[in-house]
Amino acid sequence: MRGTELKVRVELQASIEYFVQTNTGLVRQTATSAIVRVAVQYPTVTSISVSEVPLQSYTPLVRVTVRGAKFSAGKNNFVSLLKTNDHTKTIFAASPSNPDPYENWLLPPAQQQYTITPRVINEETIEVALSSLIGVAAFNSEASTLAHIGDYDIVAHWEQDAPTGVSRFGAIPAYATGLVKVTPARTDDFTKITKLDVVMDLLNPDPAKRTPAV
Amino acid sequence: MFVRPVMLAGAMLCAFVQAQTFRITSTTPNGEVPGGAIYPGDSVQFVVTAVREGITMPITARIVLREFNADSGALIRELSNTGSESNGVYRLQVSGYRVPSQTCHGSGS
Repeated sequence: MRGTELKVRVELQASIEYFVQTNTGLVRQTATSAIVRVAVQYPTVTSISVSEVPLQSYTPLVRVTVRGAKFSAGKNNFVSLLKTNDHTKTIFAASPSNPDPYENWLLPPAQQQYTITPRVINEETIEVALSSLIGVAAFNSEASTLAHIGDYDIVAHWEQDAPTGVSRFGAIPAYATGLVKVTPARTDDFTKITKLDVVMDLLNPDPAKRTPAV
Repeated sequence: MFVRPVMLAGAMLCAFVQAQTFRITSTTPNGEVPGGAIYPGDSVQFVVTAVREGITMPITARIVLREFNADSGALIRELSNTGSESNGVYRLQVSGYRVPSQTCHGSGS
């Protein structure tokens, strides 16, 4: 991951000017305090439980660990995977309880999930699902799908209450690169379609009427 | 009144060697306490309390914040401000310090 990752350290020092009476009159002097160092925290993504994600695979349980994070249930936590040399290509991180989002819409409306809720394992570890990278139908070209193969950066965010005197807008990010890659799809030459169920009326409340009699 | 010479000499010596110091007694926010950490992107208002010792004719107290590049050690900027005093306790404040944000972008972009 390339970027302006400027890390700073901060010091505070107080001083006071004062007069001292001497034989010749008042003399102006300055006393300075000891330096107080203010720690700035720079959390980092230290691990992800998968190192390779094949194209067109759905990975339902992935744990991401961030040293220095404060993941908390009920707060906004999320993970993004961005292709290292092209951040327009991403892997979508969903709730571990969610089916692959590409299949989510196949569920009955009441069961479809629209919110992303990573599971908080502890303060430094959350669990998400990684969606499949299907790309577009390969009728014309697989190039756009294959372009997703490569190394990915990880960005993890979490919300954390700010201490007194601090204004904090949005979530705190942590970054990593070189921990995970997308690989070519697994091939299975023995796949055969043996049955095809056709749903004609998906939203019909009567399940018997969703599938037409054949 | 009788004063022992040795006591008088001791008192004079103490008065002579008493140093003029200015000491920070508290800092807010404070990363040393739970929940007090600051992160990139935070906008911070530091409040520092300090006391003077051995200083009988104070003029002005100041606080200075120095930001350094953590890797190179180079000074990036300084923010300075004066403060107020009440009963010998100084309240010094630096407002509007924003911790530089980290940004990332793809290696090839």
